[in-house]
Amino acid sequence: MSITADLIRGHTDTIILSLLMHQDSYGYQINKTIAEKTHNQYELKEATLYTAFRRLEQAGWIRSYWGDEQTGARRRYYTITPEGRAAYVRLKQEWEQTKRMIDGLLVEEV
Amino acid sequence: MEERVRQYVEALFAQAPISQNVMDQKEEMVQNLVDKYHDLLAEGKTPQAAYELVTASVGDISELLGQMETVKKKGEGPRKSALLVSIAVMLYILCIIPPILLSDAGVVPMFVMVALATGLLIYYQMTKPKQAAEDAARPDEARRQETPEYKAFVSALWGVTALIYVVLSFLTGAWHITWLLFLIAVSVQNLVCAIGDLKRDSQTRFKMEDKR
Repeated sequence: MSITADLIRGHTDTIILSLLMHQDSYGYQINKTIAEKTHNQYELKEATLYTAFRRLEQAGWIRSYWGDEQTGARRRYYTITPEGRAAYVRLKQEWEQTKRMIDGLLVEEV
Repeated sequence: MEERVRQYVEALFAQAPISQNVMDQKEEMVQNLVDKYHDLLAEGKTPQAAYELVTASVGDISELLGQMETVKKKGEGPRKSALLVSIAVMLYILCIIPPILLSDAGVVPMFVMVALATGLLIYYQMTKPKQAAEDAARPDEARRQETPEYKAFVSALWGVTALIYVVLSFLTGAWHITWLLFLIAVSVQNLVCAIGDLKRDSQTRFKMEDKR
């Protein structure tokens, strides 16, 4: 599991961008979606999540705003910027390419 | 239990500087952890188990703290205040040029320049505490200058000095000598600093003797 986690970690930014492509979201919701989609096999640490948020914000790929919940405390939502969308498309292409390459390399000759 | 989650996050960020970024980060983290905590309770976990799962999911925040540190350093804080003071000093020095070149007509621009310079210095003093608070770990030197009385005194000293300088110079026309006022002001400031230090030193010494 830890090796898998290491492999996935390099794609944290791409995963977050991908989730924000559909709709604005906040930290816990993003992490919950990741857990659901991976059937509870993978979940980001809070620290990793926020480090990625701050990095993506600095790159100008996402922006954050505070929600105005009627009940309870405020949530910090994230929204993807046009630059972020372009970056996502590029990162996804890179991943597809890498995946094909690795697949090609790992095929055992018959 | 919610309060315990909040305390846990507060403790995590105990070493972090007090800034808007850090406050926002704490609030965001608390909110998300509390959400998670309630979800775990809904799944049937005991409060203690839920609390432990929540705190275990935080991970290592050192990178996050480091990141906020660099963001803070990138802010133009110190450089901006240095610029403000430099401009103010430059204005004080250059303000005698209009009267020299234009004689009486030059008085108006001179006053404007002095007013601007004084305004800049006051603005600098008022915006300084934010950085000073972050530098609170630095002892003595920094702390002495943080006392509000001292700051008020410095702004007042320089404002008054500038005013006396202008009025005196304008009345006497002795521009070649009146600039010495600024040297006197520097001496006064240092003197007050030193007196403040002495007072504090003797106070702490008394306290130490009392303990004995």
